[in-house]
Amino acid sequence: MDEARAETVGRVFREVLERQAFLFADPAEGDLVVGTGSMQGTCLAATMAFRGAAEGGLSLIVPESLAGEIATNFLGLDASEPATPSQSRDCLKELLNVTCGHILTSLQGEEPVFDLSIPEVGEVAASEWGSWSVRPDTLVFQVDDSAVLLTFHLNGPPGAHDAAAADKGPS
Amino acid sequence: MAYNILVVDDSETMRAVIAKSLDLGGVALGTLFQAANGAEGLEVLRREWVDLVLADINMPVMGGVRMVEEMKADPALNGIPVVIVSTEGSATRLQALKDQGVSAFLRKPFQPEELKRTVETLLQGEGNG
Repeated sequence: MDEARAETVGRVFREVLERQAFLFADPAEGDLVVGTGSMQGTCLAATMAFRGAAEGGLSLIVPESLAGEIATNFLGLDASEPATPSQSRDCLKELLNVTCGHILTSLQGEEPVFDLSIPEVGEVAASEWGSWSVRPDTLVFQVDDSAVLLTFHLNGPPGAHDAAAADKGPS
Repeated sequence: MAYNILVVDDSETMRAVIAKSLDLGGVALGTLFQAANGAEGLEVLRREWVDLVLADINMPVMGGVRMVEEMKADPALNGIPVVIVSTEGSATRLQALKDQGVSAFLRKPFQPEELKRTVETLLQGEGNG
């Protein structure tokens, strides 16, 4: 992912996560970026696609425990009432959906029309974490003590779609 | 005055978030109806008295856009204000939805106060009209 696009995608994700789940994402460093040492148990992967003015997809992979924390914050639950697995998955899909919509507007501006697929959630074993984290279109964040992977890709020639990134001035 | 509101979203969790936001925002709520897609929403609208609809766009079975089309074609339903609550940010599409009869848009993520302002603007405007 080129630097301008990565900056936009990362900024949008951090803003949405903060506003929706009251959590802060920082760029990950060290072992969190490539290693599986800190990853225990199951991770949840939310994925969705978009098409229209450009085609591509967005994926978000988080440890199951963090998905629970996201849901607890998003739903305003208290500690004695932890989110159910179903709520965790729903909130992860919602986080992905909102992030995707805002990324597309930030990269493409407000004129193009996109159709977004309905997000889906599956499980990813911690052992697969390393292969996801080193993909060139993946950004790795640290949220609390957990790593989070956000993968954004556009189909087609590199840089061909970033209208807003190329021209950030008002139109 | 309390208002009956229908929330149409395929995510039960999102429906709960909207319900909580209505509560936190202090919207005077009568009955909160819920539906998981546009088709279910139309069933509720044909069965119950609803003052306003909050609907997602992207849902299985029947999405929010199609639901609005069906509402506008039905004389019994075409006066009910519809607020689209979604991630949609395309001005082109929002204008098209407005042309179809959507009353207002609320882009996610939103704050309870924004939801309250949107709902009350529509309902009080209607009451005054």
